[in-house]
Amino acid sequence: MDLLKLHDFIGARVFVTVAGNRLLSGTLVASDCELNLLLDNVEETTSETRRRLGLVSVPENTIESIKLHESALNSILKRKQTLLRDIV
Amino acid sequence: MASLEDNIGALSISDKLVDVTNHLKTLARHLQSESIIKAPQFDLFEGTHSLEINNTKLDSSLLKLSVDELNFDCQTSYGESDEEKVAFVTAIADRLCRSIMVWLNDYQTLPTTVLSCRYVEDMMYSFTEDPTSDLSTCRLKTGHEIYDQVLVSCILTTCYFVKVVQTLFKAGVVFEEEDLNCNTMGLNMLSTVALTTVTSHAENSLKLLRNKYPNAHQLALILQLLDSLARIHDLIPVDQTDSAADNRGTLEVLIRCAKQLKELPATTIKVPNGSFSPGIQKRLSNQFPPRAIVEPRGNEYDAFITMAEDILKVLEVDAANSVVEINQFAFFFNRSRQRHVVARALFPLYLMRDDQMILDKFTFNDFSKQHFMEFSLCGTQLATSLRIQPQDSPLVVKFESFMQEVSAVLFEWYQNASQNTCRYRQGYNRQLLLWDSLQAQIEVFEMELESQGIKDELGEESTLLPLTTWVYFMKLTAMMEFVLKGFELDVYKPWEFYTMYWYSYYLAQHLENNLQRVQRHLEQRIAVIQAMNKKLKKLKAGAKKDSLRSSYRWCMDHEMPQLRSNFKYVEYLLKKCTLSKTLALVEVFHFAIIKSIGVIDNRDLSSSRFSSPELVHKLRFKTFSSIGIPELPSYSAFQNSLNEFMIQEPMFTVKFQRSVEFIQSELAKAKAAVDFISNAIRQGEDKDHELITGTHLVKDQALEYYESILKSIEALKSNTNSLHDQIGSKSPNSFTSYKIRVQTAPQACSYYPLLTLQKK
Repeated sequence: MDLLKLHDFIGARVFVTVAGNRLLSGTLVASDCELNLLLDNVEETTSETRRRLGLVSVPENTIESIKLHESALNSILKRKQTLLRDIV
Repeated sequence: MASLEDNIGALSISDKLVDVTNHLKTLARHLQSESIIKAPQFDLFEGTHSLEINNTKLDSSLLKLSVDELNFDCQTSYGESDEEKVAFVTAIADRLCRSIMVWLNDYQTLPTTVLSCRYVEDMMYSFTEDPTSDLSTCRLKTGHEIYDQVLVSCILTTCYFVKVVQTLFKAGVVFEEEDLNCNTMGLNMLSTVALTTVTSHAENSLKLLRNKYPNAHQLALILQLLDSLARIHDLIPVDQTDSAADNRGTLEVLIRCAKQLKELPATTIKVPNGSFSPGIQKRLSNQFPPRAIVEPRGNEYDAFITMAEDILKVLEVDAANSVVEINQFAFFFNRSRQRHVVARALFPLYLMRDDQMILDKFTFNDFSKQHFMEFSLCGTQLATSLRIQPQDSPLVVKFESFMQEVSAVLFEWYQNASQNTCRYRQGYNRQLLLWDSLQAQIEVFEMELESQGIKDELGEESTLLPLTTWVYFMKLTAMMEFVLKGFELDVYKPWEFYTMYWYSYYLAQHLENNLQRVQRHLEQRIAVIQAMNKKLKKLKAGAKKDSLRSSYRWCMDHEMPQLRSNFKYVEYLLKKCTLSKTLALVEVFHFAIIKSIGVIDNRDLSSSRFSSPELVHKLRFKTFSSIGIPELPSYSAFQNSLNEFMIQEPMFTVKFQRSVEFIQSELAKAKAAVDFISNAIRQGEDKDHELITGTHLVKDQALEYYESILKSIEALKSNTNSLHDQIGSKSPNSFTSYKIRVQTAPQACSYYPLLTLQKK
């Protein structure tokens, strides 16, 4: 994972748990140096509902965790490794 | 947290999740401050529209709901006794009914109005999950008929009306946000349900109320009103068999119910607590910030009456006897007052139908052709050639192909007529190039025809070019509307008034010349036909006389009525054009007088070193820079013209006095023209009148418009007197303590604001 930079995660579907028992799943479209995130096509899941929210900004101070599918992470890693190998 | 984990399970995440929080935090820390990593195709500007988590103004999940709202149960019949249940349902139906008008009239959203009703949310949610056309999934099960039957009817008719508005909205005539918000939160508004299913449900409810609840008068009235709202669906023409006349009764019922309802005393019973709530914004998919629900203000039944009357007005276009009447209807019906959004959305759909017909009366091509015939084409060589040549001749084929192009631009014009006041100007902006390009093409076509001998001489080596003449008339009218509408919308700064009014005057001058050419043609053709009669009397009996008699009769039967009617219509257009020209000229004079005393300048004095008055001027006239004819005057032409209007020393006072007298005499002529036109409008289709205005279907609106012009004339006259009194015989250099103020006289036409002189 050390190979990966922040921009490698752009475009990945991430699962962000935020305060208030809410899980946001969406495509990471932007981040700043404080890890404030912009997610698109967001689906919010709580204990009561599941609904779509569209484009959502997630301030860093609300984030409890950021997760990725293991397969998605492996795919990003593989792509990065291939890229580095081709450059070399 | 356990339940959240359960829900995560429901996301069908079979794959293991890897926590990358700390890794991402570390990576972010290594970024340079203020740097942003983003997807290449993502525009950060879009990010400004994002919903921010944990921001109470943007995050609908943070909406706080009351205990009543949280515990509200749509499957409970609120109220102890039957009377109380009726009272509750009446209160809910009343609030729901009012919410419709709050939604449509106050530019509110559905979730803060109609969809804030828990019953609407509950029923439409069930329907969306399983959209059956028999409404089996769209029920309440409280166990009491006043809820399960009557309230359900109220909800169904309301939602059906929302579907009708959605249908109108999807036609693209009106615009999201600025005209209407049609976001149904992903709920299916009875898309698969037929109107008859909903109306028969309502009829059953009305029967129930009549038989078992005779005192529920208010509830019955509300349901009747909602039922007629749903029936507006039938006013949208689908095929030729539709007849709006049959459906007008629907709107009359709507008006009658609304009138009765607004007279009823306000109910003391409130809706059950929690029955109207912003909760839908928290529960359903929502890409918008949370908003408080909007309470009705009390004038909603008046708004229903206005809406129904406006729709009835739209339907009146059916009674038009000519294309000129349809044209004038479109010009005036939405002019003095912006019509209700539903009426505006309906107008183009009602006029120009999916079956390629105009009001079941004309095909699109015939409609376009008739515009020419009722203006400049009648009695021309081209009209004769089109009549006698076979339908598959190159001339007719090419003409018909042009009519298709004309129809496309003409329909833009008609669609624009029902736009909201700001879009109206933008619509003209878009049309200008279309008319210009059409004029260029059609002129080439007509020049070709002239080379084949199909031409109408106007004397002095000039010819009519009937098609080009009409297109040019439409273009000039559109250009003038575009320029003058800018005054109503406060687009121009006072220092721009001179250039805009002078340009408007310039356009009016071209329009006047064009109309005079048409008039000359009409006079000539009428004279030719009349001369045939004289010639007939002189000819001896024989084949030649018979042939001439037959031609004369044909012309008298088929051409003469249209020629005379065209002449009177063009005469009206000329008077109208002269009015615009005069008022623009007076505005030009006012500006020049005020500039002569140094209180205003026609250049933007705030121009920085990055711009110049000339560049700013060119930017303002950019729209017109690509128009071929009339050519846009150069910047220096604008400047030089102002110098000619300005009053210079020596003999400033004498020259000023002359200017004032000239303005007063022009305004007197303008007033006489308005009186003449208004008289013609009042007399309607009186054959003896010298003008045909084509306004009999919009008589009140046309009179109101000319009344506003009259008010503008009076206001300009009064301002001229004020300038006269203020300036008098003072030196033009003694006005340093004065400033100008832009004012619009009450009820005057907003196209002609006043430049008034005031002490600083």
